[in-house]
Amino acid sequence: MATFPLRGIRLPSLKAPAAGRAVEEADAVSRVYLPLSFGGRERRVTLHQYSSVLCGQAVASSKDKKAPPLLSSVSGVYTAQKVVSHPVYGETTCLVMDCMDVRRPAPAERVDVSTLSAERIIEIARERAVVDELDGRYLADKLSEWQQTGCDVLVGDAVEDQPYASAAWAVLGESVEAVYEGLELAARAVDAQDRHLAVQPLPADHRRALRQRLGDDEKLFITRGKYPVVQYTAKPKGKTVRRIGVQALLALYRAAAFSEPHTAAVVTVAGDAVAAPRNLRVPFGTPAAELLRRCGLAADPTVLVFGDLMTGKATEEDEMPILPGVTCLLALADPPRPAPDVCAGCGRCVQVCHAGVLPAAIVQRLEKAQNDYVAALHPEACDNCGACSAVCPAGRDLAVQIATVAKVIAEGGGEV
Amino acid sequence: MTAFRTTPHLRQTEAASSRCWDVLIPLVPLAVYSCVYYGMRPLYVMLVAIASAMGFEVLGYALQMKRAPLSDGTAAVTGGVIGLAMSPIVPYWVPVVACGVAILAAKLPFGGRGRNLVNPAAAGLAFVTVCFPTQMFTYPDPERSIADLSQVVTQTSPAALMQAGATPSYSPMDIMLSNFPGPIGSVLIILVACILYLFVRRASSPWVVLPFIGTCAVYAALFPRVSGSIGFGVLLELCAGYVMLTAAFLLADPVTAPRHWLARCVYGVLAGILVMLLRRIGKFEEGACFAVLLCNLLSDMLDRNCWKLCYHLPRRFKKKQGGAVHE
Repeated sequence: MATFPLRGIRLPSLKAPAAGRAVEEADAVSRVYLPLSFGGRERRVTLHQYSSVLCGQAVASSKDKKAPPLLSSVSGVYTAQKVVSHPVYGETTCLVMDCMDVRRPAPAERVDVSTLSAERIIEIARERAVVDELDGRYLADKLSEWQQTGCDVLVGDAVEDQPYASAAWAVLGESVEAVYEGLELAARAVDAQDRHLAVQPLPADHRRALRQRLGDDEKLFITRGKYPVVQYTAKPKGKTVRRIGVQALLALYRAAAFSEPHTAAVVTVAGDAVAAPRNLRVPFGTPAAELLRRCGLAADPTVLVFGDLMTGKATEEDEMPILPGVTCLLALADPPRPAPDVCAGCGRCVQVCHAGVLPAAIVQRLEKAQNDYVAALHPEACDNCGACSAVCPAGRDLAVQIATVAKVIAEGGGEV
Repeated sequence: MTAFRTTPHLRQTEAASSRCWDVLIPLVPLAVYSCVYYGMRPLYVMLVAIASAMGFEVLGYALQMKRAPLSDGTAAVTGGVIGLAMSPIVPYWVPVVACGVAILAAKLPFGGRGRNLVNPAAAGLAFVTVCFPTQMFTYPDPERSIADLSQVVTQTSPAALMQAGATPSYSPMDIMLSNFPGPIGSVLIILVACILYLFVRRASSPWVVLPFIGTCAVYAALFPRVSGSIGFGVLLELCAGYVMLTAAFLLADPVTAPRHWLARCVYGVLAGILVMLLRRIGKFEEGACFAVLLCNLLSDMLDRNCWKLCYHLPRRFKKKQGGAVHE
């Protein structure tokens, strides 16, 4: 919902060295946490305690016929249920699976995907529980919704405009052809005329290699714009542009061609406390501690961030699982935080705000308890990109306060 | 860049003192240049103003049983700007009174730095302009020494001459080099350099300063007060009095200026019109500080209304056109 496309901020690129390395598979995981209520659906466990399951087998089902099943991401034993307070998804009941084998079952024989109908593609996405990593929603839900609401341009989103994340780049480098096949399938499902993969301006040799592998320059679009404003297509005017993450597209293709369930995520493990940043493919539900152990620590991290620097959620618990929708894990050696200064009125927050609101004025009104005026400044237009807080020379938490007040207004608070 | 615990974890903070240093640095060449004409006295006036502003800050905080945050540099900036607006032969108590009003009446009662409603320096200057106009607007001849104050030859400033309806007889070069009776910080060339420096350091906003100077220039060209060419009239109006000083230090003070770009433009234009009107109809030869005070009070209203215009217009337009949908 970019209103002012020229605004936004230039972020530093901290993707090296993880971006230069190929995706590595996790070799050993002791346990995983599978979220029972993921995707807004309540599920019931279909297993007895201490029964063993294979990777990809359903462990819980919902009364809702259209709800994708919850698939086990490893082969192991269901030992317990535990409520975790996840930094991204909040309080979530999880099944704890003791892992015996992280290897996925050997893929079935490849089937021809060119003849699949739109309905069948959505059915496959549902059966194989494909999740879009951009927003953590089930792909089947998104595709059926877009079938109704329309889609002119479908974009395979590998942009990753925040400083550290490079998982989508790594996935493209590993299997860009399969990702494009997945995009073709999704485009067929929603009847989109135009489709392409979108990436940030990559190094020239990297871009050339990707275009060569795709065989057509039109298939790869290089985006423009500063964070968080991204132009995903050359002429967006009057068109409905929809986006799907490249990991979901790869999973959709592999589900259709090889009947493979979507049970693993590629996650960038980075941050100033990580010794060897890299992109790891781990089963859904792997605790953060296992990823950090694999990459090593250069310093004692004071905070873990699920997501990237701008929008990631912080936690101190390293047992928190990597759930679908998380593609970046940062371990930061966080220096003590100086107290926020008073607003000097520099106006940089207003300059960078792509939603076109007045962040400093909203917070000023809140501080002065002029609550009647806050709603008139439309805090709900804020999409919490964090650009205002990032540029504030006084270190004020503008984005957090605006998000809080927007939530109160959305819940019908009216006067905050 | 430091990582913090609340989202976003990337911050570009800088200390308040470093921002104030950016404003203090340009004061130095202005004071030094004035010393070329008048000896060391302008420097002493500046130092007295800065020291008294800091002293009043300490006093004000001491009355509240707090330690004064002198290291943030705002008191020094207020004192320095008041010093620049003084005549080189002003009695030392005048800047002290101005600083007292600025800090104790315009700044601290509102909550100190970042919370003041009007620019403290403008408030202090307005007070002494009303109470002690003779001391404020008595300027020495720049070509004679002011070592002995009892022997000083005073001259009428170009601003006062223009107010009386006369045309000052200075060459454009003299005007640009401040070779005329006027306040300490009135040399055009260095003030322009200061303004550019503050733009580069992002300590002041071109959205305020350029419309302000532009409006003053256009007004001077449309309604000239001096005979002769339009260019000479514009130059004289800009250089005499506090116009450039206001543009560089008083008006663009970010705390009291609006934040939205359109509001900043309107604020600059409004201040320009007020400054020129006050010169024409005001009692004093220079009323820039009053214009700044008036505009400061309007800045919040300007911010709100200009933002409303910019926020709602494109949305209405888009609705009619049927704009792009980004999921």
